[in-house]
Amino acid sequence: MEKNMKEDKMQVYEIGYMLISSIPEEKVTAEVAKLKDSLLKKGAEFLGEEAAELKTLAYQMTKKIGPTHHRFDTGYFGWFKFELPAKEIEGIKKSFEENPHMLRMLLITTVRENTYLGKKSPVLMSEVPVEPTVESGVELSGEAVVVPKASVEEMDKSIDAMVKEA
Amino acid sequence: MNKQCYFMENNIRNIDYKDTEILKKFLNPHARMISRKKSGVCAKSQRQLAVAVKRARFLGLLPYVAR
Repeated sequence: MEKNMKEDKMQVYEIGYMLISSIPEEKVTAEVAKLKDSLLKKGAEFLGEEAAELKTLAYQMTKKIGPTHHRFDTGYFGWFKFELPAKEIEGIKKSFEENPHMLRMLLITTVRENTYLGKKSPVLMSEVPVEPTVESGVELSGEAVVVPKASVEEMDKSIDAMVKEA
Repeated sequence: MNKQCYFMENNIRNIDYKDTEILKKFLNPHARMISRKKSGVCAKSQRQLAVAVKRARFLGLLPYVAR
C-alpha cells in the first residue's frame, strides 16, 4: 500500500543528454522533439529545458554503433526538467538509453526551483566590472555626494598647507 | 582568517552540474577537486559540489584528468 503511494507520487526529474555529433545539424531539433514526445506521452509536465547545442567534449567518448566502435570529440548537449509519477520513470530511462543517437544520458531527481544559473552565475558576472552607473536623469541614491576631481596643482597646494601646519 | 563559503556567500543552495564555469573554479590544473581547507567551502556545499563535478564529468562537460 505504502509502496503504491510512493510510486504514484509526482517527482521532479531532470534528464541531461548528449547526442552523437554525427547527426546532421538540421535533424537535431527533430531528434530532440522525439525525446520530448516520449516524455509527454507518459504524462510529463515540463518545468524547464534547454535546446541541444554542439559542445566539445572534455574527453573522447566511444559508442558502439552496429559492429564498430565510433569515437566522438563533440556532442549535442541539452536537458529537460519535468514532473512525472515515480512509476513511469523506469520506462523513460530505458527508452532514452536505447536511443541509437544517445551518447550519454543522466537522470537525476531534483527540486522544482531553478538550480541552473547559466549566464547569471556569479563567476561570469564578476568578469564584468561592477560599477554604479547613473542612467540619464536617474540618480541611484539620493545621498550620493559628487566630489569634483582635484587638479594636480590643487593637490600640491593642499599638501603644502598640511606640511606647514605640521 | 576563516574564508567564507563561496556558495553560501552567493546564495547558491543547489549546485547544478551544468554550471561548469562555477565548478571549474574548484578544480586544480589536473582537474582534481580542491580541498575545502583551501577553498573555504562549507561541508554541505562541498558534498553537493562533489556530486555535481562527478555528474559533469560523466556527461563530458568536465574532464576526469587534465595535463
